[in-house]
Amino acid sequence: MGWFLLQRAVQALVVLFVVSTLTFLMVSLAPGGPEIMMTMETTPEQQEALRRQLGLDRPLLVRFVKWTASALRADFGRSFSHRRRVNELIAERLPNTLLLGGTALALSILIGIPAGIISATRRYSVVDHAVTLLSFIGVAIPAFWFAILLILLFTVRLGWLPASGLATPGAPFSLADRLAHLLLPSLVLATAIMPNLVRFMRSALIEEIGQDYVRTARAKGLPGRRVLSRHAIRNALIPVVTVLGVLVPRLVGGAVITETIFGWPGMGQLAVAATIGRDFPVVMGLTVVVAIVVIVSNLAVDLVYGWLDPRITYG
Amino acid sequence: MADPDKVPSVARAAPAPLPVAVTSAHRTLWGVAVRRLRRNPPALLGLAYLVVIHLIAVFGPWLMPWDPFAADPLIRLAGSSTGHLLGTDEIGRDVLARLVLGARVSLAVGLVAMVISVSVGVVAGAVSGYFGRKIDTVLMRFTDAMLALPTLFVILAALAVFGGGPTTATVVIGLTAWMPVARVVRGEYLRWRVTEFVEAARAIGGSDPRIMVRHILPQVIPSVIVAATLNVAFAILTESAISYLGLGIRPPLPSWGNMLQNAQIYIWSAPNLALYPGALILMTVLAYNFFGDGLRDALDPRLKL
Amino acid sequence: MRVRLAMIVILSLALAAGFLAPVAGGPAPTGGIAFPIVGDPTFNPWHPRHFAESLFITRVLFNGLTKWGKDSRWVGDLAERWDISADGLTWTFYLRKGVKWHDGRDFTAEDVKFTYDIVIDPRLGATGRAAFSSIKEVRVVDPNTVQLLLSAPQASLVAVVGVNAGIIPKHAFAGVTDPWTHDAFNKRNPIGTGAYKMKEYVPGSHVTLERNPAYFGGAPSIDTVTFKVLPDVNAQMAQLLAGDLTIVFIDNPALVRAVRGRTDIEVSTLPQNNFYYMAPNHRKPLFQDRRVRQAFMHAWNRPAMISGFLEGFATPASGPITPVLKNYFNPNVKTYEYDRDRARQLLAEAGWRPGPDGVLTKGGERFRFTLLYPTVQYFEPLAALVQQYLRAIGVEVVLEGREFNVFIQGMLARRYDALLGWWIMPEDPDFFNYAHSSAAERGFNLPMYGNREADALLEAGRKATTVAERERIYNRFQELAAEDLPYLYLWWPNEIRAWNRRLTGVPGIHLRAAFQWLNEWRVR
Repeated sequence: MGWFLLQRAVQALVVLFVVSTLTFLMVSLAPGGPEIMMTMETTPEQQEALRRQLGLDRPLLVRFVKWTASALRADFGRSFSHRRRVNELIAERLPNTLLLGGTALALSILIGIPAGIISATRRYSVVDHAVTLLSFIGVAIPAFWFAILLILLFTVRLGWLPASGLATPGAPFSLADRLAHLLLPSLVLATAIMPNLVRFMRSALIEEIGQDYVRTARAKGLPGRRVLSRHAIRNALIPVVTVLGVLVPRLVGGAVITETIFGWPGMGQLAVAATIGRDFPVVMGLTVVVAIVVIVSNLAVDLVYGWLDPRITYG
Repeated sequence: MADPDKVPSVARAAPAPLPVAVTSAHRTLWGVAVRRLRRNPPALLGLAYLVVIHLIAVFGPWLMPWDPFAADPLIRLAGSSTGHLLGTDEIGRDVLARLVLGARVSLAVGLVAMVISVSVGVVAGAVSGYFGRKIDTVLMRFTDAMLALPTLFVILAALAVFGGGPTTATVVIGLTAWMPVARVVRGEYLRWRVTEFVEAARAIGGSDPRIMVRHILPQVIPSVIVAATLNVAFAILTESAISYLGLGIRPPLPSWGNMLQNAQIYIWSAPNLALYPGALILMTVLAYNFFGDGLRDALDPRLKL
Repeated sequence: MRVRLAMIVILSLALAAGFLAPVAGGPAPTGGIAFPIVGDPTFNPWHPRHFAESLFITRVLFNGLTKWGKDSRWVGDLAERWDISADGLTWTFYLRKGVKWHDGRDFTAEDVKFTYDIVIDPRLGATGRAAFSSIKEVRVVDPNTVQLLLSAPQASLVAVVGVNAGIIPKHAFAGVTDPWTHDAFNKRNPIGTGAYKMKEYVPGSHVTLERNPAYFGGAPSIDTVTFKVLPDVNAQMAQLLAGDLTIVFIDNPALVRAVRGRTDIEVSTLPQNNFYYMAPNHRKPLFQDRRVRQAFMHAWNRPAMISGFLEGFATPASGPITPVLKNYFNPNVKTYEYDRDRARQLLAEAGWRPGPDGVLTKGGERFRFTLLYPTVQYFEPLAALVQQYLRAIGVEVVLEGREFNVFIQGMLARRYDALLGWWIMPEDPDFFNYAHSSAAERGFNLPMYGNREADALLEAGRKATTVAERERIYNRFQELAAEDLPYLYLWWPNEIRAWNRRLTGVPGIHLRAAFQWLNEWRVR
């Protein structure tokens, strides 16, 4: 096991290097640049002054080497837009995104997996069709629309829930206030990711239920529930866990649209502003963070496979 | 008799391999499939919808009497009328005509991007999961890297190198959506390759490709179908999100996605501008799903006829 | 004798009371207001990343030498009055006395010198410095007097020093080599002279300012002003409806429908010094014939577009100088009605005949060009409409909508046949930077226009010393601009703002300037 982890650690470094190089290249290729200012009243002089200040007049390779050298010391430099340290910016935003993403994930798992199970066991029933319909509505409705609809209902019309921010500005800390602010955005986010879990759970469980061993167990009079929970669901979880492994980094990367509409100060907002403003250091820093999460996530999934089905090996 | 409760959780009897052709016609794979489909109303509905919408997409724009580009700011945001069955959009263009023309783009992007992502994903996942070891390591670390890349910049870089346009957009969307498919397929292959029935297949002389395709792949198809239908929705919606970057369907060409996007600001004055394309996207995704489900059942070797 | 003494005492007391009242706190402070901004701000008005989301805040935190007054003329802000030398090259500003920074230190002419030295330093690239390009030196005469020495006369300087030109404190930057990385000031604790000072900043979420009772313009009545980071305009409107925002700046008229019928929300609109245009690239042979440009002006139905997707909140523009400039505005210039036949006729006169597919051709060349525009605001539908109108007269337009960032890049590199854009200008008729031939490659003369008479007029307008002279010069310039069309004018948009009726006292000037009078706003 230790050897396995060590191997994965080495591989992780290789992946990080490849990702950084590719991202650096792409970010430099993209049209527009951080020396372009977001206003019509820009002049070439300002552009040139900025280029020099941001060090963009140096050759690509030099810049990359510099970046790598400081990245190895976990220093991602200064944001071009904010002129603050990238590490600070990320440290500020990450907890907020984790809070939002974590809540959405928890909601999705708590509701989605049981829904998928019920859907599979009562296949083609009204419940199943309802769950399917709701899942696809969740997938097909863009986050923007759902978010605005919720705000119009719960904030404007009913006045029950706030429409933006982490908490009421200026008010003293209150758990109720924080939860109220968390509810709508996590609901929107959950609606987008839940269908993935529901669909894969349902599909995989249907497969398991059709397996001979389940039929045999049932024929021998074993209670369905037990067979189900002990064996079928465990096996069916494999694709579900895989999908979770892919979703987690996406959530850490930040739910861009949800954060934008709800004014949630997370990684998503930072990412979108950095992309539009071609803020290279921030983009690179965010990419490295997301890459680390991807690597750890997928490693965790691989380990969970081993727990779900002991016969799986990677050798 | 062994107590089933003590059976290790992954033991299972060998699933029957795909049926071999027998004398009577309706015992062939396709014959069986078609018969099963016929008895599955949601699947048939889904298929019917898909056929109709694709026909409309292909032939509709030629048959439409209304011009999807003719703009008249004085009749903008109008409701249904005889001249404009679904009303007009923000600069007075006919909504129905734009939906019909937009169908071409959205359906094509949805289908092609999905096919790209599924093909690449299934191949990568199958090879990775079946062979394991170094191949798995290399492929999966490559997948990790692809998952970590910031999608927007991939798109922007593609724009810079290949220029804008629907083809580039479709390919790029497809290439950013294969990773989850690969991960899921690989998981399934990892689990299936250690089962007894695969050992049995090997024992009777099955080669690797044959086992991968004829034995394990059918077990994996259900997950692939789920991933495929989710990817269709993802592709259609992503296409619209990137058009503001200058890549993809450029105005004034309509697509369901960009109609949905442009309707955002008119939520206060004309919410049905978003309702129509949104409903079409939803129905298309549902149709793919029900038909896909039906197809999976139809091809399932374990169900009795 | 005693009566006299009594009267002197009473008079002195009255004077003292009047003098002390603002310092004592003014009317009882009431509650707070909230306003949305679209991104994280920077608190330094000269920072290269100081964009639209920051300017409302910096206009409240800082003061410039002048500002736009409630009666629509330039009034003193930090400067009480100013003199211009006879040759127009030396401007002397006499600063207000007794002004304090938010940290209690005294404001002096040294701060003005410090600020403008940063502005004119070409290596620093301060934002907006193009407007100050004629300043060559700043001189401190005494602690309350400062001089700006120009390299060429610029009558519009009074306007320029009043727009987004906040003075920053020298002492806050002591020992700092790079003003742009001085986070303590730029990002956490800005120190200004304005009506409100920094209270709290939660990055990504909001900025809260609290009233400055010692403000030289009179203590504010409203307790706090919160700027909420809300990038999405629909979310902003929803919050206005819910009462979570007090006042909103509406830049897309489609949003006005959100507040229709709400008696608790007031929508107000006023003209601004802003015009939307298509800038044809005059270096391209396609656009060099004046008749072609005039044909375009006849080809589009501007009233329809305005009542259409601008919901009536604009006026068709006859030129670059808007009626907001009152005496400088010339209403008697050539105008262009929507007349397709006239457009076709003009094009025919210029040698363009319809080809077999309806597209105009001349000497084997098709009339086809690329139109660059940013995918912001309402430019997408506008570009689509423009394409349709021009297609109707046989001109083929290829649309090139780009992200704003990329659009600016294309704009700076002059890589376009024509572009759509807008200019918001300070309330002064000086159009030099936007149409003089010297500004064609590296200035704001986007159409790359070069006309000798126009050049001469623009130069003279800057040198002129009397209002009457400037009126004469700019009236002639407007005539020329309408005839020769450096820009193809679309419209003068109105500014639209919506606020909760609890808010009163907002001056009837454009919102950015109204924020500089925040100390006079009241909440019921």
